[in-house]
Parts: sequence; C-alpha cells; structure tokens
Amino acid sequence: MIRRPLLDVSDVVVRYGPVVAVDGATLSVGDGELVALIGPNGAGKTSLFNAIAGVLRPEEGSVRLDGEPLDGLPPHIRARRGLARTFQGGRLFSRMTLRENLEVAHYERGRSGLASGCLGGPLARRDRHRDRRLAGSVLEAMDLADFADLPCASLPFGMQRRAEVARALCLEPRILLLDEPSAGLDPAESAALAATIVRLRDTTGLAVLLIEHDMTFVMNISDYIYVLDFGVSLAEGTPQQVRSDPAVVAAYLGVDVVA
Amino acid sequence: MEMVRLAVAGLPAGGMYALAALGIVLIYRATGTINFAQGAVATASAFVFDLAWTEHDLPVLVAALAALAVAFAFGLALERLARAIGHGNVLAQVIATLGVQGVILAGCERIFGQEARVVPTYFPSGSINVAGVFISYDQLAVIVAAAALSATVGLALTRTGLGTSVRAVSQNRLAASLAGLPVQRIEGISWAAGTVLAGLAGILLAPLLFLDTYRLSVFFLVKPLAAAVVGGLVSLPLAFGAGITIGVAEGVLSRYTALPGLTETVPFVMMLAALLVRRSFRSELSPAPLSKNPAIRPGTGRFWPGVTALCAMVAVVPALSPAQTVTLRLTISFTLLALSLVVLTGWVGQVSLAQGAFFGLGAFMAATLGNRAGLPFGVVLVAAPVCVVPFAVIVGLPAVRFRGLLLAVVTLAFGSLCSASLFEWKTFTGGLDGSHLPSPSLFGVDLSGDRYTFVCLAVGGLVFAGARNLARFRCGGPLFGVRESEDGAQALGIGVTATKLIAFGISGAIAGLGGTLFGYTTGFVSGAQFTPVLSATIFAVTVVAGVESLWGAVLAGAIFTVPSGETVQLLASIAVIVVLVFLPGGLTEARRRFIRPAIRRRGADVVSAGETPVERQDEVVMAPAPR
Repeated sequence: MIRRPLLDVSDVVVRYGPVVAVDGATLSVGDGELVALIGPNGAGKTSLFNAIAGVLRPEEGSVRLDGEPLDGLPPHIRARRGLARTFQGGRLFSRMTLRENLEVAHYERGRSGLASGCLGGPLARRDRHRDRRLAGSVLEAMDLADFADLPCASLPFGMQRRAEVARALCLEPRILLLDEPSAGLDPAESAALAATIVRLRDTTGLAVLLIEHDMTFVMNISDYIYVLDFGVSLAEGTPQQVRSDPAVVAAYLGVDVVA
Repeated sequence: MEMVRLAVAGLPAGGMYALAALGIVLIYRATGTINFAQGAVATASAFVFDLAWTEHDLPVLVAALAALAVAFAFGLALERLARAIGHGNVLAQVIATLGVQGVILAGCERIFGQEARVVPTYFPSGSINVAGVFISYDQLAVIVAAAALSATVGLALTRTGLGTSVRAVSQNRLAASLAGLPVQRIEGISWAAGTVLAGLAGILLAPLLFLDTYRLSVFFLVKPLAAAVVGGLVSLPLAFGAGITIGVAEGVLSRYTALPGLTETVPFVMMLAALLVRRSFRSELSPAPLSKNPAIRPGTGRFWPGVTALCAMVAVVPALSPAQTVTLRLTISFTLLALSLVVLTGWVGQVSLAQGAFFGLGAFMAATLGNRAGLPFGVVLVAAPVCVVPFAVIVGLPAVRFRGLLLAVVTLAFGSLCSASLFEWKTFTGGLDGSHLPSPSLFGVDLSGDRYTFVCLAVGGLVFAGARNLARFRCGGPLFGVRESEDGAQALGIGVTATKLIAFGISGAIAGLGGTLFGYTTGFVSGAQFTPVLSATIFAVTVVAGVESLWGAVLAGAIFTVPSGETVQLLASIAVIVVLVFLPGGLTEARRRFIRPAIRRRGADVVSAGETPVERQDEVVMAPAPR
C-alpha cells in the first residue's frame, strides 16, 4: 500500500548541547490515519513533537505538511496551516470558560480584523456567529456541552484533557498532534478518550499523530506505530508487527535482546 | 584628563547605585519580589538623617543610626505586607511596594515640606590628589563605604550559614522550609537588610545631592534597578559593577550639556542591552495574574448603564461650575489613561509603568502640532495619539521576550528617561517654560467652555465603546489568550508577538489621546507633570479599581482626579495597600461578587465536587463520557 503522506517528517535531528535527543527520526502520517509515536521515557518523543510543532528548531531534517515545507516557520504559522497540537501539561486558558476557549481557537479562521472588531461591524458579527456555531458543535461532539460555561480551572482533570483536544479541533486542523493525551488519566477516562479520538477520526477523516508513553492506549486504536528509543527509530509497523518486535519488547522491558 | 576627572566625579553616585542595587538583589533573591519602594526608603532615610543632624544637632553617628532604624522599620513593614498578600502573588506584592512608595513620599512631603534642601557635608573638607585628579574626602568616603559594604554583603551571602540559608530559600522556598529553615525569618532579614542598604545609600549620598522628594526617589529607584537588572537581579558582582558603570558613564556624559538628560539614557540603555544579551531569567519574573478568579469577559455587561451615565453627564454639564467642569474633563483624561492600562495589563497581561510617559507624549505632541504646527483641533485629536504609537511599540519590544516584573522595570526606566530627557528638551516641550495649547476649535466653531466638555465626553464615550467592542467581539479572545497562556495561544495560530505589540500600540494611543484631552483642558503642559510617579500611581490606582474592567478604568480616573494634597494622597496610597491585601482583584471584582454571583457559584460546585468523596467525583467525571 502506498500511503499518501499528509505530514512528512524526514531525518530530523535535535540536539541540546552535546546531548542528541532526536537522531534522524523519520515518520509520515497519511490522510485520515491515526499514527502513534511511542517510546520509553527520554526517548526523544517530545523533542521530535516540538520540532514538528515548530517550538524548537531542529538542526537537520525537514517537516512537510501536504508537500509544503514548514521548516523555519514559527509555531503559530504552522497552526494556521492546519497543524493543531495539545500540550502534555495542558495549556487551557484557565480563567476563561470552556466555550470561550473554543471560540478563541477559531479566531484565526475568521476574516474580520481589528478595526471591524472595535466597530462591531457586520464582518466581525458574522465571524463571531461562526465561532460560536463551531464551538457549539465541537462541544457536542466531544460530550463537553454540560461544562461549556464553566471556567476551565474548575473542570476536573479528565475533562481538561478532553477540553484541550476539543479546543485544538476548533482550529479546523488538517492534522491533530496529541502530546500524551492519556497522561494522568485513570483507565476508564483513558479508554473513553481513546474511543473519542477514534470516533473523531472515523467521522471527520482527520489525521492524528499521538505521542504516548502508555503502550496499551495506542495498541488498540492506532493504524501505524513508530517506536523511538534514544532518539533513533527502533521499529515501525502495524500494532501487530510492533508488539511482536523483539527490539521493542527489549526497549520497554529493559531485556537484552541477545540474552 | 577632563574625562578622567568627570569619571571620578561619577564614582560616588555609582557607588550608591551599587549599594541600593545590592539591596534590590538581596530582596529579590530571598523573596522573588522587586522592591519598588527602595528609592522612597533611601529618600526617607536621607530626610530623617537631615532632620536629626542639621535641625536637632545630634551627633552624626546617632543621626545615621536613627535614619537606618527608619529604613529597617520599613523593611520589616514591607515583609509583613508581602506575607499578608501571600507568597506566589508576586505582582500584587510589587504593586504593594508601589503603594508603600506612595505612602513614604506623601508622608515625606507632609512632614518635611516640598522645598528642596541642601545637606551640609559631614566630612572634613579637603581633597586628595590622585595623579592630578582631586577627590574630595566625602566623595572618597562614599566610594570606600560602597566598596566595603558590598564586599561585606557578598561575603556574608557566600561564607556564612545565614547567607547559605538565604540562597537556599531563594532557590526553593518549599524545600528550604521542609529542611527546617525558618523561611519567614530569613525573608524578614533579607527585606530589612535590603532596605537598610538603600537607607545607607541615601545617607551617604545626601550631602552630594539636593533633597527633593520625588526627584530623589526616582533617582534612587531607576538607576539601582537598572544595575540590578544588568546582574540578572541575582548576581551581586554584576549588579555592583553595573552600578559603578552607570555612575561613571553619567559622569563622563555630563560634559555634553547641549543634550538635556543625556545622562539619564545610561540606565535605560544598559538595561536594554543586558536584557537583549541575557538569555533567560528566573521563572518568578513571569508572575501569576493578579486574580485567580474566573475572568468575566469584559464588555459582556449591559450597554444601558454606560449610555445612561453618559447622558446624565451631558445633562449635568451646563449646571457645573467652571472648577467642576475642569474636574470632569480631567477625570475623562485620566479615565483614558487608566483605560490604556486596562487593555494592556488587564486584558493582555503586560505590566507597564510607562503609561504616564505616553500620556505626557500625547500632551506634548498636541502642543507641538496644535500650537507650533498650527494644525486644527480635529486633526491634532487624531494625529497626536497616532504619534505616540511608535514609542509605545518600541517600549513593548522587550515584552516579546520578557514578561511581568522585568517588563515593569523596563517600562519604568523608559518613563523616567522620557521625563528626564525628552520632556526637558526645549524645542519639543519648551523645557522649564512648558508649552501652551490653543483654545480648541473645529471647522471655525469655537469649542471652548461647555462645548469642549461635550467633546471630551464624546471622545471618552467612543473610546469606551470601542474598547468594549474590542473585548466583546472576536479580537478580545486572542488578547485574553495571550494573558492566560502564551504557549496555548501560539498553538491556536495566534501570533503572540504581534498581539503584544498591537496591544502596546493601542494602549499607547489611548494614553496619548488622554494626554491630548488633558493638554487642551489645562492649556499648558510641562515636563514636571509627567513623572514616573504619575505612571506608578495610575498603575496602582487602576489595579485597585479593577484592572480587568472598563468600569474599573472609569473608577480609577475618578479616584485619581479627585484627591489633591498630600493628606489625600497618603490616604489613597494606604487604600491601595489595604485593597491589595483584602481584594486582590480590585474593587470592581468585589462588585461582581455581589451582583453576578451565579458564575462563581456554579464554578464552585465543580471545584468542590473534585474535593469531596470519590463517588461524587466519579459521577462528575464519568457522566458525559461517550458511550
């Protein structure tokens, strides 16, 4: 099968001083694919993720979205091109309500500017109407409607993770980058979130790249898995292939393959 | 040779900047707070010393001890205040130190009067000759004292047990307290030591300066702060070296008298250079927002109270006495000044202590365009604020990299640069003589008297409505987003840099518009009206009134205009401190607590659900989970 890559990451190298965090990682995500990037702690997953999002600049390698190079572009421009991300620690606007968070996320998709906003002109009103409609439908789709008018700081932790995915969706992205979405969730919440992500992909055809520490979370839902260890691609393939790969097992369980 | 002489002449001042800077660094290292009252403490000590020595003829040492005791007492008081506000709310602590500064300065004016005094030197006259350069004994004493004290502080921090404890507390407060260190006492000692250093600087330098409350407090605040920032607010040797360098550079530049205030550019330039070279600062420099309560989106309130208030004003204007009319116009000008802070600090989270300078720039631009260039009032009203925008954007540039306290310091330095240099520039402002503004007229219609008041009301109403729309409509979202989380906003495609700079531009324009109205109200403007103290006061007053709310700006404008005289200022400064301790969100937030409690209640339900037994927590979490 030839996969048409939407996101194409090739030979990315990230160094922090003498430490090589990512050493020539290559991966690609096709349209509507759910791809996972896994690896043990310190494998370089988050560094690679940040290089894709544009938060840090890789020394080598390139990142392409639908054939167009993103190299050198700042994170907010990448976001406007359709690359939405969530944060491991969560970066919700905690004093604003969930609905407001979602509406802000759609801001850059509108066409009205500052002047129109200050005057309250028709363009700004139309855009605001669109923001609200989209936020409303995403809230429904993510089962968050009951929490919409609460300040984010007061949401339970599990809801905040879900809220962050919802906010990223309001950017109307082409690909969704999720940084350890299940971190800190209990098994039930984690399973619910996994189900939501799969449903999203199935209903909207959105491409998803998720970083996970937790193998069980990704095994059931991913189409394709990349395994990273010490900054190097260790293995890749379908969940079946990866699960039975001795190098992966060794990396995760700390067993020496040869022995 | 002349250069060397001037450089040496700058050494004593440099030594004092260094001492006061050490005080700032000491307090910052132990508590994570910048003490903006440092200059005021130095000033108060100098005054007390002068009182005890010159007026009551006490021995020099006794007088010095009395002055240092006052500085020590201020240190302890500041520590109690910081503790009352609570560790972690650094921004509120910093504003409280601004309030303390107000209390000290107003108190000094009330007790010691407003005239500048001259303190006779307490060292024997005479000088020594070092390779052809004469250094007087008092200069020498100041230099030696500064060096000795700095060395002592440095050694105490690195070589004694107490010094180690201070460093431990500064690096990790929680861990230090878990390790059994008396954190509060250590913080208290640091505050007291920091203010005593400022007091020493005040006493030692007093004979070399005129005692003038406001000039002195700015003098002892901005320059030591600049030195401290060069040292990253943590390095004692760097801060010391920078203090000396600033003094020497000022000495050398003082020969170029043709450019007024050239010496005043030194601290600002050094600070900017240090900020651009330095890569990172400690995380406390981006403090948490003032209020942790859910933000009610500005501009979502009802429209009719504003319209009613405006109509009522219009109806009342003809019945006002001339003095009351002027008060009303001033209130509108200062409301705009406060509103510029609401947009910048309240909505985008950028602290600025330069708003008074933007206000003054607006007034002088209006004077230049309206009087000298002879442009009509209608054009000036638009052009003067627009001319302020570039300045505001340039001041905002450091905000791209640094947030919070550091930004407060940079903007303060810019404000002081403006007031000491740009506003003294004769061709622009008329120097000491000030500038006059013509009586406003539009299309041949005379706009003096009540008509001008209507113009002020109309302009104020329009800006209020525009800002309300800005917050209400979509543009508000990115602004608040940048305040809440820069990373989060960036990930949503919002250009954080652009947003901040635009906010600075808008804020500068609003402040400049306020200044323009102010200029046409008073008909005369001079540099002395737009000191950094104006910026600090309007900042404190706006925060107290409610920095996130447009009505807070109106309240701040009224509070700011009505008081005059030291007694009222003293009370106002005390009010600032009281409000910070008991109502960190400001007065308008208190109003919300009573008038719109529904949101708070609903928010509280979910929070308490998270803390109560597990079954309920599960219920809340699982209820909306997908099938």
